[in-house]
Amino acid sequence: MTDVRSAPAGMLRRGELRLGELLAEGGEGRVFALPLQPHLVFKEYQHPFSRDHLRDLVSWPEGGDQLLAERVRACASWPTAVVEAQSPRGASAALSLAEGVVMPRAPRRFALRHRDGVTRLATLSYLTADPAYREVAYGIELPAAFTPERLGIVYALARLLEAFEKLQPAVGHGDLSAKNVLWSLQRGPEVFVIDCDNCERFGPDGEPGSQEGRRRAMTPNWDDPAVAPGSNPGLEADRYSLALIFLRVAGAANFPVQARQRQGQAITIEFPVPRGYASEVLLGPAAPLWDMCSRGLSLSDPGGRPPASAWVAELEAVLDAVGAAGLMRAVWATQDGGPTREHRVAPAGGGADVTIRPVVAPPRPAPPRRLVAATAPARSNAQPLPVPQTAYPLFHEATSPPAVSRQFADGVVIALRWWLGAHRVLLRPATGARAGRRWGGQLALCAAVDLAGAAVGLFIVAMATAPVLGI
Amino acid sequence: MSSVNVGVEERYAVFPFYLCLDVSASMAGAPIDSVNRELPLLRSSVGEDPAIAEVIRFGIVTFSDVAHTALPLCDLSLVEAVPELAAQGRTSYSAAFDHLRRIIEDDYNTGRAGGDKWYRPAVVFVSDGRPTDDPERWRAALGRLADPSWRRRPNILAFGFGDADPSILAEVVGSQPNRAFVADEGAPPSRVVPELMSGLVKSIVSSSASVYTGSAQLVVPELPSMHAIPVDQLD
Repeated sequence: MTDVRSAPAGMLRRGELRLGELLAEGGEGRVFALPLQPHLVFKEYQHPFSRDHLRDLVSWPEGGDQLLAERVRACASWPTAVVEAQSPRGASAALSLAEGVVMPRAPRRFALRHRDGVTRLATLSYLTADPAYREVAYGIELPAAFTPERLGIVYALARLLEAFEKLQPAVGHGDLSAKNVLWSLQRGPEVFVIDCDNCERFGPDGEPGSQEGRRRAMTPNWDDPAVAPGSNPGLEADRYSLALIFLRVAGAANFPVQARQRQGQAITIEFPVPRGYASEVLLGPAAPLWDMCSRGLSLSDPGGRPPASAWVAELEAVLDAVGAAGLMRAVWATQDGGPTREHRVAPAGGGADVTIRPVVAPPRPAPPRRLVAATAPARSNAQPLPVPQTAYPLFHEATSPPAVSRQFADGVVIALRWWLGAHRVLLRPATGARAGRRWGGQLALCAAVDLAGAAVGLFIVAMATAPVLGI
Repeated sequence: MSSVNVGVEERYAVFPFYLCLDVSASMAGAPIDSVNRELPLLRSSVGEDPAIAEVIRFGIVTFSDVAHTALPLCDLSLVEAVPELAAQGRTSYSAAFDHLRRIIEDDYNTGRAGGDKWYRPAVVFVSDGRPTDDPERWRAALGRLADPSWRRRPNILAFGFGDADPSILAEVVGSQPNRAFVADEGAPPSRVVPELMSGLVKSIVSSSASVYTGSAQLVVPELPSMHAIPVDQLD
């Protein structure tokens, strides 16, 4: 069996991989676990495509800061090996095609456990709506809108995209949708970007590296409306996505803007800032953050969208201003790096088609209540819901059913508490005949329990020591 | 250039799905057991994915002698458990169509009052038999449900198995192509019903993705054990 970790720029044949569980299935193909390399997955394409393109991605970057390259490895599912299409009769066409690609699997912390006990990938979808509503729906506590944690997640993504832009040659993901950007707050704000085989390399002139007319995926609702139908996204598309993700994740709302932008409408986005932050200069009406976001979303001037490094610098200033420098350092620690050396970009007047206007966050409507079956007139099914078999288990370890060990531990604690309480009663002097009878009963019960406990303990000790003593 | 305001309260339009299920006595046994096994899976597949649940509203209407709302139109992420269905009685299509007409209108008005925008609702009509009520009566009820002058009239998909009559199902969908399906000869309900329910999940998932494009489409499920009822040629 080939260890694909030892061949980072390698080519593999399908037969060299032992496939495990089918993890996901979609329009592009299927994703399988690799039991012998549990930190990796194999993505099998429905329609084989250019081997050279994937090989270029595997060997990327060709130049640039090593720390930036490590940042990509830390927070992106970057292709590690290409799996060649099999050519039974040596057909030349098949030689240039890839059947699939091997990529890192999302670490387990990029997942959320729902109320039903099933763990699912922590996509950005959880963060793009009122967190109180999500909590009612899934039993998951999420950070409130415009908290440092949310800003930290966008900051972590901006730093990854900064590496994409600065390494040689620059790459663009092109499909930074909610499903392709996973997040975690376990070790501080983190992101893990998947579907990186969708990435494209761009030359200094902004031209894409692969010329074979490959159609790159773009998810509706997360796509750049400046990309004409039938065209592929350029580097500017990721800059649009970053501004959109800031808007939706930090603001915890849908902000459905693209349809209006496609219709050529100018839009003013009223962005809610919590009352406590409203007096911050860096979040006031003239703050550069809003100008940067409006330029990032601009359709009239896609070339003027701020690069990711400008976002990094601006978000560092904002995180510092709101007293969240500790979160910033946590991001550096998880991404193998330090602060950016870029200077913040001065406001440049913004795109005329998008305006971001910070407003004091209005109170959100009370979240709805969960619907229990009793609300329906038909007989209710009170049994727990069956666990679906395809619940996106795209993380390292198999999820254990909740609470079995916890229930056992709880039982032990309850038993110990009873035992201590019962023996404490025995230590109190009994006065009166009735109290004396109760005391006697308690003594008998404790004696029986202690005797049984001693017998079980002796048995366990005997069983444990017997093999050692050769009995 | 005039500017449009977009705030946090702005949401995507929702796509309502009504599962209209025949629970007459002929559904007793394996078919209704199968439905009761599959509905919780449908709930978790749709409700536990925030991106799908956000734009889909789902309700269940059952009909036999009378029609009931078994699950009011709702966001499935907020549903604790789906009700267990029981089979009894005859097959009144008119009860189903009249009930649908009434609740669609009510749900629409309730949704609008709460700030929801709607795509045209979809009704997934599932029956294993022929209507037992008077043909004129159910046709009149269907006419009210599919009335072109009623702006909330739903798109109907019809699925039949057992004794369902293909020509009647074609009539239910207004003889539109690829909207009415009937089980293949010999395909047992134990195979057809799970396929139908998992096809419905896929249809909802695909339809939800289209909502985000701003022009929602009702994606017809692909069912291995069913085939489309051919559309009649006019004289």
